[in-house]
Amino acid sequence: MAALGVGYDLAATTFSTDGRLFQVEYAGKAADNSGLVCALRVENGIVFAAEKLMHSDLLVPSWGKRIFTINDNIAIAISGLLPDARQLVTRARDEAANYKSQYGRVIPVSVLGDRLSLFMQMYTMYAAARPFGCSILLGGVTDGKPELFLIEPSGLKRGCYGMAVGKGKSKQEARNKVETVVDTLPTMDIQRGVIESAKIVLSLHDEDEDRHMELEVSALAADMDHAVFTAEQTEQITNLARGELDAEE
Amino acid sequence: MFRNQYDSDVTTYSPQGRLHQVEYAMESQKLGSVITGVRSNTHVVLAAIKRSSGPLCSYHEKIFDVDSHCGIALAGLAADGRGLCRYLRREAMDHQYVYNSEVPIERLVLGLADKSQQRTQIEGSRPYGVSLIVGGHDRTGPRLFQTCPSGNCYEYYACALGQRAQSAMSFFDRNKEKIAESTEAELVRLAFDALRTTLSEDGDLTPASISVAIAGADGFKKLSDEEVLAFFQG
Repeated sequence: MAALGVGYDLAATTFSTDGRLFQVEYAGKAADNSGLVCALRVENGIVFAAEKLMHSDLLVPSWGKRIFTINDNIAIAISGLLPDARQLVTRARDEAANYKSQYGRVIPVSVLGDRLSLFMQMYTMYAAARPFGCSILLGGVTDGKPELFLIEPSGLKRGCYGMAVGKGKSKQEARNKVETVVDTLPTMDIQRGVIESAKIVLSLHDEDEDRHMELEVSALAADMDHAVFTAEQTEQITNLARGELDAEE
Repeated sequence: MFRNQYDSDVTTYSPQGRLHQVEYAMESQKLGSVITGVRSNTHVVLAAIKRSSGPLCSYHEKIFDVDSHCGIALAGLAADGRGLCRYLRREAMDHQYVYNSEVPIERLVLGLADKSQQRTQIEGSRPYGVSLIVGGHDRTGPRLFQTCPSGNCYEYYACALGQRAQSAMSFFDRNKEKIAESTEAELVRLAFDALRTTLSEDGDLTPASISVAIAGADGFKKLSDEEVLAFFQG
């Protein structure tokens, strides 16, 4: 199968004839190749929901997390290659700790976003390394105000009201669903936000293709440290979300 | 298996976003003889079929202890496996020295996974050609993990790797309700039965070709040949 960039797509240091970096675009495909990850910026915080695809019933359910705490008020959710994701999480945690040690205050979310995007961009510049195969949803609260950013494998950072990544074919549908609620987000509270994000992830889960999934949900707010919900809490959230989805049909 | 121009470098993505060199490295475990791990509420059992190069050779070891509370079974390139075993032993020992306690197995496995991931992102070296089953018992109870050249690691209640390991996984799937409440002896028998499903038609398990280790609250222990024989006859 001849790809578009044949001949110009073997290394991140090669531009194609029309000025594209195909290896970076392919990394974007890898970033889409995982369960759906969704984040919403609500009135006073950020909610995350992730679809963990379990390839076997013998797997321990709590394993394979996609939502990571960076510090009390910042968290990231990652789609794509999980091993690459863990490197980024380590880097983010180091950056946050260094900033605190150097400046004596908690790192602002956009500053952490800049550092992470610069780090990811660096891996797109050399032939001896490959870009990260992950998209990051970085969310946190700075000076009482919530901020959410999407960082793509190219290093591009964009601020968002809400965003979904992963699950190539459903990604656009998920983003459409986020768009339907985006006007209500600025006045939405955390509890509602959690249910809405869970609804988006659950409604797009393909039961036939990816049999078994675990829902992972978390939230952080100006007055609430980041916490991933326990199995019992997640079950309650799932039931509420499914109830509302069924009622809507 | 297809060949394509995107599969000779670890630092090259294919147009579909796949890393073929990493996927090829993940195939290496299928060349090894089968290893299984199974975890109940109290114990973890690792069991492996050992191969020998010929009647004049001893069997290749498949199961290694890492510390007094955990150990590994390897499938794939044995030399890579021994290198990883050395790394794990050193990490466990360092932790003991610094913190005066047994290293949490999850931490050990994640360190190994991150080390494996680095070799999938930079040119100049290749991914490890071995997958490990890591089992043990620490403060959080019995834990069982599987690592992979890609840097992914998974926590399982039961898993198998190696030649025809899919039969063992199907066996565990069919019997998964029995696993959690099993006694130590029942768990070993489950592991043996899983190994049996991977044998060819006229093959059978012989005590000399099996390696077993059990981890529980009293530590990780590789069974001696006599103890393996006892389980066989019992």
